[in-house]
Amino acid sequence: MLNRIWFILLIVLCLLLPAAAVCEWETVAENDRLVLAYDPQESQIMLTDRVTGEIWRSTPEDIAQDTVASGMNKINRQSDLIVTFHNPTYVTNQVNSYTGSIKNGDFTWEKIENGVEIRYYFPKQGFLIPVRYELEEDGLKASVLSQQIQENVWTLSENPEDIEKAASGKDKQSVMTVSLLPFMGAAGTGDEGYLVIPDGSGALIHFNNGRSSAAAYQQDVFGRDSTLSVKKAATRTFQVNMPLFGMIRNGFGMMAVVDQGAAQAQLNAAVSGQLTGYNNAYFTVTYISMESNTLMAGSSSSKSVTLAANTFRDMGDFVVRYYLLDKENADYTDIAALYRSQLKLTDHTGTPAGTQLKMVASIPSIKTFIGIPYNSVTVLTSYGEAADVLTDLHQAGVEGLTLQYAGWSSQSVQGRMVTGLDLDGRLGGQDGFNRLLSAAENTSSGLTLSVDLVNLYKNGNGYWSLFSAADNVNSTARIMNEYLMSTGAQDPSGKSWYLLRPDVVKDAAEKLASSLSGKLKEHTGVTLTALGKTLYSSLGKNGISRTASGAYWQKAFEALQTSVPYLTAETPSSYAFPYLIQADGTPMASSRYDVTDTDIPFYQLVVHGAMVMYTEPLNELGNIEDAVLKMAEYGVYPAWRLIYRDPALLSGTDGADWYATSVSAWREDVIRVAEQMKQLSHYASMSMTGHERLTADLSVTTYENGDRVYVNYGNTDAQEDGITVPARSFTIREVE
Amino acid sequence: MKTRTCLIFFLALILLPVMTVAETVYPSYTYNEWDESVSTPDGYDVFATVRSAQAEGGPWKGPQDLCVTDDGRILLADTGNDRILEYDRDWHLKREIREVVIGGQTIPLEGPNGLHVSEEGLLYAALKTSARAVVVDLETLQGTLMIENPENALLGDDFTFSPAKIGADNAGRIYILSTGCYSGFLQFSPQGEFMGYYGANKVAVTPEVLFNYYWKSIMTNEQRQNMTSILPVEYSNLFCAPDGFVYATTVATSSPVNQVKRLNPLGNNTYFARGEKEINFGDEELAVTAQGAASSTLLPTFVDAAVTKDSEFIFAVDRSYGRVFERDRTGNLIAVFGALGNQEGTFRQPVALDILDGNVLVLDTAKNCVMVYAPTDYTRLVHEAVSLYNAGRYESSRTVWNEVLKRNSNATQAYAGVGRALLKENQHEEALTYFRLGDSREEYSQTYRIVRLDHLRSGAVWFIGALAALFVVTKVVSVIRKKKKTDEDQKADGILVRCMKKLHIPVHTVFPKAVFHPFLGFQEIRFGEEKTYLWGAAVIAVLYVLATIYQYVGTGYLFNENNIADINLWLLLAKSLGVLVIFCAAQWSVSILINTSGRLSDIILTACYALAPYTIAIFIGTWLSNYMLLDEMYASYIITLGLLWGVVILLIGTITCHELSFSRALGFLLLTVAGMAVIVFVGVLFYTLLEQLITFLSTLYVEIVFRM
Repeated sequence: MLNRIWFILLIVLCLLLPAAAVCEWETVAENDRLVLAYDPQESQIMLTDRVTGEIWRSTPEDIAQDTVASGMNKINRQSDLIVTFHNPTYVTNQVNSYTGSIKNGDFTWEKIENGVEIRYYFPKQGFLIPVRYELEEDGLKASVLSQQIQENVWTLSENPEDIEKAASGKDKQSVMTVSLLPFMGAAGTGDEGYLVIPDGSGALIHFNNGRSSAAAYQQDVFGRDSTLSVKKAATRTFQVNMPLFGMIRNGFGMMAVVDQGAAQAQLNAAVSGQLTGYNNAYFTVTYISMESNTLMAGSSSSKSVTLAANTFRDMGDFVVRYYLLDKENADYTDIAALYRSQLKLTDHTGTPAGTQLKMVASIPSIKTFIGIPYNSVTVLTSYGEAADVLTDLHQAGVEGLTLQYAGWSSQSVQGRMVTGLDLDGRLGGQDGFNRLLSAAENTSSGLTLSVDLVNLYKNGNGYWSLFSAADNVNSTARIMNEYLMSTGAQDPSGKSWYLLRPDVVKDAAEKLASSLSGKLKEHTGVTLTALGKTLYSSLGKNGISRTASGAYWQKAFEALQTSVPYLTAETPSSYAFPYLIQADGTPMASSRYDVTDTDIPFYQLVVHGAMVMYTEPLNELGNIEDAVLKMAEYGVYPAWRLIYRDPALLSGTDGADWYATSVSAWREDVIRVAEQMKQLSHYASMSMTGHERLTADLSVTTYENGDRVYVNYGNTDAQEDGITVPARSFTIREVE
Repeated sequence: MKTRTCLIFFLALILLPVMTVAETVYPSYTYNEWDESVSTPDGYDVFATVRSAQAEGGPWKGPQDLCVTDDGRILLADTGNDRILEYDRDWHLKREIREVVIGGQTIPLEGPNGLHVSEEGLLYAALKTSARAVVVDLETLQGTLMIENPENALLGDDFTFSPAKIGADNAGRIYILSTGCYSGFLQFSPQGEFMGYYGANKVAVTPEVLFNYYWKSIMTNEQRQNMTSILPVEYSNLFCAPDGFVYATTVATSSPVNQVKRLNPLGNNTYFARGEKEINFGDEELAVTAQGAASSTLLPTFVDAAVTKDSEFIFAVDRSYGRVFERDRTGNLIAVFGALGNQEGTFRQPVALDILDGNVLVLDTAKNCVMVYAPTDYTRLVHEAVSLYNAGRYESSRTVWNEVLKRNSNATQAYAGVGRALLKENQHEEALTYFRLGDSREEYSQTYRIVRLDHLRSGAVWFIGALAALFVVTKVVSVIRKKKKTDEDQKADGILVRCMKKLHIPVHTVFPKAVFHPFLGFQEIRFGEEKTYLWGAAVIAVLYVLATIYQYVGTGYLFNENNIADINLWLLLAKSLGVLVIFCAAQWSVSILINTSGRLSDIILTACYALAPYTIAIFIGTWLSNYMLLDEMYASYIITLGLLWGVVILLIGTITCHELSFSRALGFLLLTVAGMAVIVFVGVLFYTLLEQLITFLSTLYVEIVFRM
């Protein structure tokens, strides 16, 4: 009986404890709109919006009510940092700032101008991580002071004897990743709203959507580092192409943007029921990547070992800025507008916006001469034939044509780096190319030549894998492979190639830029097929971090922008936006992870008006009509992959994946879709200001000038705002 | 606006048409002529996902089956909650069925694991937890039939009834899959009497089985009992189709063929492709899973199948790879969709599949949701074409096939379809091209028979004319020659013989006058005064290598299974020249060992000369194979003949050069073959070791570089 009383008492005590820990908020900074307060007891922060009265806390207030979280997740809620680290034998572990530092008071803090700096000391792991929270005009700037992170610190005493004594028998633990403010603004089960995730075109995760059995969202910003090996490629995913997430909580909006170190950031998001009872999103910075390598592969003694890559902390501080939206009833379009205003993109100038033709000039193939096979090149669309197609379609009434031309150079068709205008005699040489240029000019079409600059398929032309390839964790060249569609496993008979080392990419871009300088007229230029979407490091000795690669990429883009009048890229991420006037292969959907609810045109809301956007080739889709409607909704223009000659030439070549390419077969469709989309072409230079899904079948997109485009996916006519939108069609309501 | 968004959000959650997107998250592919996966347009899009948490009547708990009635209602076996949920086609809950009445007695639905609804509106449910199967009217939920503990001598004493899946055919016969029973389905009469096993899987006769059979016959009873018995493969599910067939899926098979069966009323599999070929329902390319040093192939595991009303298309879902395959009734692959993953439209543990209004519903018990896949416009085209084609309406299918080809040049089936139509229109030449692209060898062969005959007919006049002209010319030339030759007192030599003379190849080696001078040629080499040159032999060797390559590349389509893009010249070189070199090395070694009189040069010359007729035969045979039909094996006869001729020359050469008797020469050659085996063995051993050494050194290098 006594036991029972004690037990009950204990339970009551446990329940009371969190409530008993009374927060002592200390205002550390304030301005006209916001107040930043810090609680030195629990080391948490609180941001109060004076205008709206909305409060955004680093740790949820009512954690006692959360019954979902258990173990580590339970304490994560009270932490502003979650740290993963590895020991000398590469065993990884995790600690959060509450358990590791706050609980026992092992942190120090001081007020700085506009905020607070906290130095978390983790005595058990031996590292010291300083963070800084500063109030800004419209939000909060949170930084992990990466370069001041110390490892192997076993005492805070400065006495050398103490240091030696404390360090004896302890292994150095290396900080791999730091998650910053994991529960900033976290929404509980009582809150309404959603998270905005820039995955592909963009996706919403509604709070408390019940997807507790789905995996939490976790993706690297700008895609996975391609230098790290891939075991399996089973499904298609889009990448996080902007370093941000948004949160709409009870009508109030917040946007978090990685300001520094985006290339090494990872975006996480979870809904209540998955890990905790909260809906939260946050960024994690990766200083060290892990990779498992197989040693003695193929032999009976093959063994998998995990190796840690270099420590990359060269981004300076890892900075995430939290912006509070200054309006009520905000939605994702407001977040897109805010991000757009920050990117400061220049408005799109009059480049063609109509139809993109992705034509393939030539492809490597194996031919036989009296039975003896040899490597050769098959011409699919010569310069002259491409010119004919442009002229023909233009005469048929297709306006705003732009031609993206692949395999056009004698170097690129073989997989070598393109360093200049290497015209191919088989395709028609200089004369043929001149014909193409004049055809493009006469039809006022755009012309972009596809250039890779990243993947080194074949040595030569000044670039050799031995000297210029990006390295693996183990300092050997990273070898890229093809994967089977069926099993997702490596294709044993597939191609293998290298990635150009990031600094060499910059050199190659500059070389190309200088050789193209002055040679390209208006509306002719280059499409970067990989540079806009692939950002990778080089590991091993003399490693180059993703952040450093980002700087090289920036230089590469700058060089190309100055000498190429018409620069476009395939599926560009935000780091490429400032340099481009056109985005090709725009994502039209998100990866649709189980945790996400609906797709939104977030990418389009940000980009529209600054760049003309084209889709993936329509002729390769299963539902072309649906795609046309979606283009109308998303403000994107049609693209087609075509070759002029008989598609049967593709069989047995790498082009077997282009399964719908015949110009003659698709001509009518190209003209028909162009005709359909014609009425939308003038919106290309306007920003998209609104988007809403009115019903499951009906959507409306609003442009800068107030025009609204209604798209009806349903099989029956729809009535909205006094107009009729015919079934499976779209209608424009122009502003009076 | 906010409330509106929320409203739409919830609408979207429950009622579905979440707009399909441009691209699916899983790859869409088909297999080409060489069973390699190639891209196709998306076959099926995710039309909607009905999640347990948001579904009316949810959440579900470990649902195991899904069944669509003829009038479009959906029955879901909510196994963990001991109930069956009835939804309409828009996923509005109609009824929650927790119990049924059998003969006045209320029976709770405990752990419903398998469902079937017949055309007459009878609900068949397998209740695994309570080991019962019930048959009731779907509307009234009343019935008279309940199967419990079936007893029969066939079943044996230790049989436990554990009904997992259930079905019934047009005649009302009931089929029950009982877990742990490897003898097939249990077949019951409409009255519930046990009739016997149905569709018993036969144990495939493999050497292992035969060996075990023999082994068992000499073992004691005790030993026999300790030995694991080889069980026939187990069924995983069944689907009773309107056409009267029972479509069954199997698990734990030893090979990927016949995993989905179409059982006739006798219980025999009738699902075969054209030409009685066994059907590999799932992937052609299979993943290899490595566990430590041992690696094994991951076979598909089909867990459910469904068939369209017209029995034209069969769907089956594979749990191993997380894919749904659609094939037509002749086994052609129509579409592949789904994958394992955590994105919409991917699976974690699919358990059941059915078809509703042309959409495919897949129940995933781990994700606790039903995914609804809708065919894309492209797949609708394929369906239309296949239906027309299988109905024999080739002409009208042609336009549709052409439309399919426009959208997918990898659609081999479409090429064959167009070819058929062209054949009907007597456009044979064009049909040939399409059959070639469609990899339809039999039809190609049939068409080529007609085309070849046409060619012969139209070319016959020219052919005979050319033959006559040739005859006249040769006659005239020989007459002129004879006049000349009487002066030089020389025999008239053919062009081949003159070539051989130029190359210093004794004529009688390659073309021995078998009847008159069988040994003359080689005697000339061995004992003759005139010097023989090795480079004549070298020319033959080079020609032989070329012939091997030509055979690989140039063999007629009907007999050529090679993908020219995959050619490996080194491998061909090893196969041709490598074997020759090893032969010579082996024979020389053996000749030294047993001390025969042959020299190395003799051995090389003999081997090369022996290859000459074979080489010529390969050239002729390969060329000829381009003009042969599938059932005309003349080309290979010629090549075999050449080979035999070569063997004869080899024998003669060996007898002469090594001065051996016939039987000893035969033995000598056999020893040579053994020697070759030894060389190959040592070579392979050396190669393996070398490879390991290289791997070791490269790993060492990697390690050093990494540590530096």
